[in-house]
Amino acid sequence: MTKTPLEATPAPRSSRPQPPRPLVAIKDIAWLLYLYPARWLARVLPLRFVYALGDAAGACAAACLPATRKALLRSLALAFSPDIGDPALNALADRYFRNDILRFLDDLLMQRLLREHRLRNAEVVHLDNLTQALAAGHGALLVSPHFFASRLAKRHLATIGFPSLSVRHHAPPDRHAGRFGMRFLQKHYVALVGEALGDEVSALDPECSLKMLARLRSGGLVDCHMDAACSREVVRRSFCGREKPFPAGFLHVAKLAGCPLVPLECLGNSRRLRIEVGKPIWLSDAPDRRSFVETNLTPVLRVVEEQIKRHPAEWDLWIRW
Amino acid sequence: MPTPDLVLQRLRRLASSSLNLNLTAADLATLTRVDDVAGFDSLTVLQFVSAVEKEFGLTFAPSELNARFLADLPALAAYISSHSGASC
Repeated sequence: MTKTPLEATPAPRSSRPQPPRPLVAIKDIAWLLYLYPARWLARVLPLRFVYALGDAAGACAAACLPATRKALLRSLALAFSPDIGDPALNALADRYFRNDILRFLDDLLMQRLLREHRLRNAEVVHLDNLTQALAAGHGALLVSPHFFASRLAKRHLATIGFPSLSVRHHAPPDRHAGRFGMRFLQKHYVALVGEALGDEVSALDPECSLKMLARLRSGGLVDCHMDAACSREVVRRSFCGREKPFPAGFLHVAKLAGCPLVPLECLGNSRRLRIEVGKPIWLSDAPDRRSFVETNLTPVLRVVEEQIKRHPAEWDLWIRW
Repeated sequence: MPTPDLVLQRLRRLASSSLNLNLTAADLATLTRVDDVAGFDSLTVLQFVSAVEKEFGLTFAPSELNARFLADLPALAAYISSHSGASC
């Protein structure tokens, strides 16, 4: 990861002109099928059968989405070439598609999995790091990249006594949806993910940081994704082969709460979930706001980038970022 | 213990700086709510909380960390006046 100048400006939007959205796009059809028939079937079909369908859909997606695959391979190559050759990148891409589909499946199944206690066998490594972080009574801010298993991990941690408030973008930009999808379907998809997450706050809520601070000051947990630049204050850094904006707001919340950041690595799916809790990262003080962000963001980003490079097929944002 | 009026004046100055309000002296003197001004968002309200806590040497309880409580400057001034040991 290399450093580029820090800026504190509104999150940038692409300067390239976007083509007008069609009335209905393929993504809208996919949303429609996912939100209704697939959701109903996931409630009633035997789990073994649902998982078999998910595996088949993953293999199908890997083979039937050439443009997406090309974009994915390009991103992977930027991060890993020349260390990893084309065959290995293609194998990574196959695993990525499978994990992506299984994530969508797990979101549909979440309530059922929780009701039937199906997440009991998840493996949590170094949970002592979390208890140590919470021992001071100032809460802890869980940071992780967009791993496919993040929502499962959050719900599992809640079931073993570590509930957290998730910070989430409630109106994510979507280049592939049509006008119909953005107008009628996206809100239902956002609601479904909200149900999967449980306790959440919108990053667009003017009281978002206050709600985060209140939770931390109650000695609780807040979780946010480091790689979602929906904060008004962003810092651009080179990351996984590209220069990208990162949010800085969560650092100010953690500073005011006096809590550490705790990196989470969330891997797998509902059949095999592994959560590794990293060592708490305590924030360093700095003379001003700018240098505070400069000093404290880098170590967290380094940890997150290492997580992604260890488990590239588990990271959602290779093509969505 | 500072009087509510003096605390209110200090709160207005803090609000103006932390929320980056570009107000005239007359506007600032009549400022009573900060949640309906341009520039009030999740990050600036956090700056405001930070500035108020530092200025008056207090820590807001979790239940007090909401915009309804923090944005009403006269009510906040009365609260600070009764809870703060800060000198004016």
